[in-house]
Amino acid sequence: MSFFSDLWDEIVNIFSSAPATSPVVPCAGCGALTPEQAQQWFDHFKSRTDIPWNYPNDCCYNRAEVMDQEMSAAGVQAGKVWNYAPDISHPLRVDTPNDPDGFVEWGYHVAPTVPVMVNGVTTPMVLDPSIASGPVTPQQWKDMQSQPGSQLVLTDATPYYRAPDGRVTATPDAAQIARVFDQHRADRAANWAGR
Amino acid sequence: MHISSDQMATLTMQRRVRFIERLAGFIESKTQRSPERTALADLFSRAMGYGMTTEQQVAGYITLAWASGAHEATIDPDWIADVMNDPFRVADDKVKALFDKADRFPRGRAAVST
Repeated sequence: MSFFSDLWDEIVNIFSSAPATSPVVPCAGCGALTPEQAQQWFDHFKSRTDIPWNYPNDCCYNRAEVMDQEMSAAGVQAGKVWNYAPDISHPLRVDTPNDPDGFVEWGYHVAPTVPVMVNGVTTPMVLDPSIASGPVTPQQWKDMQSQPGSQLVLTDATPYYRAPDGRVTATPDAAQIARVFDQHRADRAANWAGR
Repeated sequence: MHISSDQMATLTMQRRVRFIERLAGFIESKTQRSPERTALADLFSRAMGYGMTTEQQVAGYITLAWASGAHEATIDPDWIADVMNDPFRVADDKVKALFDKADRFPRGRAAVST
């Protein structure tokens, strides 16, 4: 550790993540879902036919965006979790029947998170129907991607794409997001053509 | 229970003053120098302009900005301003990037002591 890293750690320990000015401080656990509600959101998204769940090769950023937008509109305090491969020779890897090779590899992966209250404790849970069968913890989600050296980053719902160095890309409009889904459906068809 | 906009404004100001007092105590414990509250208040306003909202974000920015002497000028030094004005970073990442940058400075240049 270095001096300024230690200083930042001290600041995080001493000061809160509550607004510095607003006297309205969210109570711990307010807005958290029950495990059942989290599963209901998961099942709802899994059943959305406009989202190409069967194309794990790409599209995670678009899927995460539309899920977060729908949950945020419903008042859920959704966020995102990002998993970054350490380098190009050590990609994330997930076995899947949705690719002819039986697996896919990524430089990064992203999915939405929701706060879930379990036994009085609120914890973020990941909703990722592309690789999981229900809500999982960020660590479980990371472990599913088989790269121990990867870096996990939790953010709010804002970034459409977030580079490993923290730079973000502006969110496209709804029409552009729909076009990305269309493109990825076509990419999936091409990926399976003749295989 | 409802509170009026005047009461909300008063509570907001009180919270801001208390936060600046806590931050002043923290900075003093790190630098053995007592920062002027007006200087911290000016930097607080600058932090709001950069999109900082949480105590951690504001405290992180002000601590480094004050230690760098930014309160003695009307604008921040380039190494801070470049990060804080970056439209492609969210607030948490801006503060983290500031501390990462500070860590890369040659030893002895930083104004904060242990």
